[in-house]
Amino acid sequence: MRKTIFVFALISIFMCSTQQELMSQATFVNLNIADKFEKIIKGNFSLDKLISARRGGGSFGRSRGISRPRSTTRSTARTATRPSNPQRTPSFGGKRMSSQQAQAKYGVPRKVQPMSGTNAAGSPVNYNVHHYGGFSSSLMTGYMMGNMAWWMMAPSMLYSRPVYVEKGDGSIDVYPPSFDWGKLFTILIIAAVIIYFARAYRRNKNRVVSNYSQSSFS
Amino acid sequence: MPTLSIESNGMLEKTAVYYNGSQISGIKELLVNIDEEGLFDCVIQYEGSDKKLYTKQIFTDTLTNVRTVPASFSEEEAQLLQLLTIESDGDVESSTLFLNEEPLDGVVSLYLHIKVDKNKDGISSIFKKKQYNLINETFKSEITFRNEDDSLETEDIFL
Repeated sequence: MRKTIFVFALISIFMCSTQQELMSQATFVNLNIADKFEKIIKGNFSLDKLISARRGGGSFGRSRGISRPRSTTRSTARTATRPSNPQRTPSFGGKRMSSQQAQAKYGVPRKVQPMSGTNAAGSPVNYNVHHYGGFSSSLMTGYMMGNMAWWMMAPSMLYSRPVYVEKGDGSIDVYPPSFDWGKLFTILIIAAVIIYFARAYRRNKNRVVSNYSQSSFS
Repeated sequence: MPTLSIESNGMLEKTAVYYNGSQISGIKELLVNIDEEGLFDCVIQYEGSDKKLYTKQIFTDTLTNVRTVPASFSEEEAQLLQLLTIESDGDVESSTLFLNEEPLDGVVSLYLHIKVDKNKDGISSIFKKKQYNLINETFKSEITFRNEDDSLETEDIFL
C-alpha cells in the first residue's frame, strides 16, 4: 500500500512539474528519484527505510529543537557570485564595448572631462567624459546632465546613445554617440511615403474638381 | 412655359443644363422619360444654395434655391456640343423638342438619365489616378423616331 502511494506520488510529480520545480524541491533532489524509481521497479525500495534514514540528519521528520534566532548576516557564498556590474553602468541603452575597442574607434579625445554622479543605487560613480567636439559631444553632455536644449531633441533621434565603458578601477568612460545613417534613411522613407499620399490625395481631389468645373453636375 | 436645355457631348464633365436660359449647377440626377403614349417623367435632384437636396418635377414644380452660374462653354466649345431643348408644361401633347435649335418631329420616346455620385473609396481612392474612378457616372440618352415607313429608329442624342 505504501509502495503504491509512493509510486503514484512520483508519477504525478513527473507529470505536473517542470524541471525547475523539481530542482527547487530540495527533498526530492536529495532523494535521487531515478535511482529510487529503478529500485521500485525492481522491488527493492522500502519507504520505511527511506523515512528512517531521513530522520537521521535532515530538516524534516523531527521535532523542533531549541529555538534559535534567525541569522541577520547572509552567507558570503552569495556575494562571491555577485555580478561584476553593480548597476553602475545603465543596463538599458548605450552600447557594450571594451576599453580597447572604444579607444581604437574614437581615437585620441580633445578633452577628457571628469564628472561625478550617482547610480540607481545611490552610490557615487566617477565618469570620464571623452569629448571629440561637434554636435555629438553636446549630445553626450546632454545625456550626462539629464537635460538638453529643445532644439537638440529632433536631431538626437538620428544619433545613437552614448557608449559607456566600465574600467577596472570602477570609473566609467563615456564616449559620444555616433550618427546613425539607418535612422536617417528610415525617417526619410517614412516622410516620403507620407508626402506621397498627401500629394496624391490632393492631386486626385483637385483633378476631380477641375474636370467638372464646367459641368452642371457636381 | 418652362424650358429645359441640355448641352453635352455625351461626357458628364462636358454637360451643362439650362433652365429657362440660365445654367444651373449642383445637379445630382436628371431623369427625362417621355413617350408618345403619355408617359411623362421629368425629375431633377439638385443641391440648393442652402446645401439641401431638392427633388422636383422639372416642368410643374418651381425649382427653389437652385444655383445658377454663368455659361461655362464658349461659342467655340458650344459648336462641338449637342443642344437638346425641351419646352413643356408637363404634358406630352404640349411638349416640343429641339435638337441644335431645330425642332424634332416623329419622336416616339425620349429617355435621358444623368446621375453623378462620388465614389467614397477611402484609402483606395488615393491610388486611383484616373478621375472617373472616383465618381460613379450614369449617362444614358436615347431618342426613338418613327420613320416614314413606320419603322422605329433609336439614336443616341449627344453622340
